[in-house]
Amino acid sequence: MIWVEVQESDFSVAEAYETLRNRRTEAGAVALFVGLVRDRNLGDEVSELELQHYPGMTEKAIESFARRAADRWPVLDIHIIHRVGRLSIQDQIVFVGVTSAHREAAFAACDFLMDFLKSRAPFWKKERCRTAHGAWQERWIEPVEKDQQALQRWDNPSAESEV
Amino acid sequence: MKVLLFARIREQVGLEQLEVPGCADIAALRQWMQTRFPQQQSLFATDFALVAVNQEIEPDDACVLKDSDEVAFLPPMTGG
Repeated sequence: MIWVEVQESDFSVAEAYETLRNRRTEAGAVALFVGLVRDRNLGDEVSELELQHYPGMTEKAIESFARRAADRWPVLDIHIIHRVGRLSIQDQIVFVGVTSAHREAAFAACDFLMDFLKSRAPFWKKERCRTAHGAWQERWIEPVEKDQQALQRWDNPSAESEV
Repeated sequence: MKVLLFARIREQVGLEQLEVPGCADIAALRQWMQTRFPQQQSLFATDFALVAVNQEIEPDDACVLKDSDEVAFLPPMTGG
């Protein structure tokens, strides 16, 4: 089963884990990823993050990535939570939880889903940061090359033979 | 058709959405937006904004548009 939630409110990893853990007796592995707001970006101090999304499309896009992951690896359940709105340093931004019979599928699907969330789901981050000159400013975060490269590794069919 | 703007495009244009009269395809819509917002032309160019039609990414600029479509201009995405 696939659940996708896009919300302003915070989430409890403990609750999400317990739900995944208790759903399927055939599950032997739970892989969890949690993304947090860092206090620095590109060498500058960051005080706050604002996340915008495209209501409706964002949920649909994430569901379609989750279905792709479920087609590619023998996973049991996938739960994705992504927050939007204003976030502070160390706030939780994103949760990805995947269960499977054996760990390899859960790890791979979790990794794959994070790469898609980074650069293929309609979210946009704006940060409030202090530049080298000491002035506070707001800036939209630019996509980074390493996220594009991370995504491309899933195009390579040999990636699956490693699992 | 209804056209939605997001993130940097929304901010610089100063609009969340607008009604655009008959544009035959995505290429024509990009041109219409560039004429309407001459200061923000680069934000509607193919090397910056992705276009979603009815909430699905449409990579082909020749994609034909209907008046009932919901079209969105999306800057490069930065989630996760």
